[in-house]
Amino acid sequence: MRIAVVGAGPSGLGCANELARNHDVILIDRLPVVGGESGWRETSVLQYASKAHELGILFELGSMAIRWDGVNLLIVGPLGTKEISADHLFFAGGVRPATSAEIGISGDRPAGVIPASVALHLLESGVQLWKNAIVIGDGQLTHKVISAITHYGGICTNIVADATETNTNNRQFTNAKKMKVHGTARVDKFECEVNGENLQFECDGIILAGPLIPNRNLEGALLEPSKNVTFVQDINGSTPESRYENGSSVARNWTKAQGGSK
Amino acid sequence: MALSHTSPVDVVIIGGGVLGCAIAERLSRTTAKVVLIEAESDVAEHASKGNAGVAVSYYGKPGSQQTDLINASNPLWEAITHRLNVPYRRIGGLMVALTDEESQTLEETVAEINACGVNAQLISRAAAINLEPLVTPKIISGINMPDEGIIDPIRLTAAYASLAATNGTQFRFNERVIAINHDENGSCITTNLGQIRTRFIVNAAGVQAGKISELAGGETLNMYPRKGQYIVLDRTFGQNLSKIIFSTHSAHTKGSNVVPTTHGSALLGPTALDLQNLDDKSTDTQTIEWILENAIKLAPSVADAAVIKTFAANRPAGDEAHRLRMDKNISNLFHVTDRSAGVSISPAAAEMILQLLKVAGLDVEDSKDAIDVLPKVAALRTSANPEELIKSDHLYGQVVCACEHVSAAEIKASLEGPVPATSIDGVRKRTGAGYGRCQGSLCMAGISFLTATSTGKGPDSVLQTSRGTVGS
Repeated sequence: MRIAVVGAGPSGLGCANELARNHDVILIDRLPVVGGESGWRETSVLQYASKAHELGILFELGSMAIRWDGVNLLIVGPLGTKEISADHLFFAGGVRPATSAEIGISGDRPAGVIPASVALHLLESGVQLWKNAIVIGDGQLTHKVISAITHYGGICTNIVADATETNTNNRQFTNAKKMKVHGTARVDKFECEVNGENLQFECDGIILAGPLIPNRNLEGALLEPSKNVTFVQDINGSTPESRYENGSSVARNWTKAQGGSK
Repeated sequence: MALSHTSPVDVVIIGGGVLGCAIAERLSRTTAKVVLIEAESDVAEHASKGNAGVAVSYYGKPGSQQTDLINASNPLWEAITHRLNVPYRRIGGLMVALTDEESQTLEETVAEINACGVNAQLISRAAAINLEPLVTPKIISGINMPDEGIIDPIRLTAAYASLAATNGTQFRFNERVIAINHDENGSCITTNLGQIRTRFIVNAAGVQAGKISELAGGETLNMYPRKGQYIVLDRTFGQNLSKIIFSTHSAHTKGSNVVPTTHGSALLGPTALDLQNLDDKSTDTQTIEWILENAIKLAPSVADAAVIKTFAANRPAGDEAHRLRMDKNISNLFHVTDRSAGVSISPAAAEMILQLLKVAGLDVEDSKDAIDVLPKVAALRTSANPEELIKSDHLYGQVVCACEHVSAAEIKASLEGPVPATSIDGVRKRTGAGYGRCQGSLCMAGISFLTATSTGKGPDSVLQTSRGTVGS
């Protein structure tokens, strides 16, 4: 069979490398490099990618998968469009932090409420963006954001909706409900209820870091189930290695369900 | 920078909402010299940004000026939106009666709509379900309103502004009026940035129109914000919706509706709450839950749809829901405000303001040099031939917003346009980047770097909204 894998992070690489034992695999990513949010310099990612090359996997990097109709995939890149025909598609488009609406945050919509995925990219520029930030959620992005902000001396308060402990070594409040943002031009206050008590925090930034939600941005593969699509999006994977292993295992299970046939 | 005392302009428009920008667009196609000043850092803030995006065929009573302006504007939408490259579709609306009482109200409503000269018919339950299969099976009767349309109100406002700016209208942002004085030659407007001399003033300041009139020594306009809360649903629901589903109007409110957007998503709302505080644009959980419940009554599959965003916006309410006239005391001051139908009246309102200005002595004619068609910026997502688009500009092949498939070419155009975006929101308003289900989780970093570069800011000081920066 000819199989398209969308997403060349650890999950997609794990999936593609497993499938390449029995199938023709083409691996597509919107970024011009492999690794996804794990980054292309990660040692394990470099190993996975070199294995993929050895296995003869075709790469379409720097190309965004736009539309899947069950048999054909349309990708676009700076050099033009391409139709890729495939018998099956694995969507490994990664994960993102939940939005304000998904968390159920009400109140104002001022500047300074930022998804953690965005905050991390901005913090990489080395600028001290927030001195006193609220970090919502206990996803795998939480620790990264908190260490980036505390690294330059900023303070973080971690607000989590359930009772999970994350050992962030920071001010943490769990079981938070009724979250509310305050501020006109910029955010200046965060409010929530913890065990029936109303808490208010002055802050200059609110970073949305969890829970994690699978990205869905390929038309024709937005909803589960979609025709000839398997989703490979590990919201619990904490390391590139675990996500790679999860990708392999999803591919193995799929192959088994196909009867192991070519 | 401020214009000098010695170079007076013909008209100063105060307010860069849909009405102010529509007037600027119309006047820009004449020989008049025009300046538009806006307190925010962009056009289409406040009510012009936060509304349901409906170009209505009917809103109020027959014979009113507002109804005349809606009737004059409605047939023009295809031509105007083609000329200005704005998404618009005349998809029609369905007003829904869920009780016998509402069914009776619909009989009165359809009579009123027809008395306005607008096409609408009472239809049976079966016909209504046929018209919009997503409508509730509990519908008793409906009104088919074929001339209701959906429009991108922000793109419309920005397009009016872009055409005007291309024709030479000066747009001045972050500029607030402090004083207005009059003499035999006209008026002098003092702002936080300087002074402008002008022969005429058009007050299109929305909810601030009362304050502007007061500063100009004009009549008392009692204005206050009416807050509306909204829910945005994902396109996986919105794309299945073929009509605007309206609640039956009650004595107090036009009700909360289910509206497909030109982006493919769907909007639920608005609610209506009169306020004192201009800056209160907060959502609350109870109201959001009410909007959802109400929408589920109209279209049960809303219950399965993904909520991607909630927001609130304030419309310019007051003791008059609509006004377009010369001030009773000051003969060079014109007021134009509309609580709910600003988009829907904008083309005809702009024409009418021009005629009123001419009657008042503005001696201008249509300009031979002015353009009336905005150069088209293609969009990757809606392009019939993406291959050709990318060959024409490779930046079309670089998708920045993964959810809405907005390309780098579109973002570049929004940052370089005649009235360029100066904030992340400004890019979003013009291109739709960040409108999707991830709400910018994937693309906002890239857009903030592009916006920072374009506006000469760093990642901390780049504007996220009209007023607020990303960092503190």
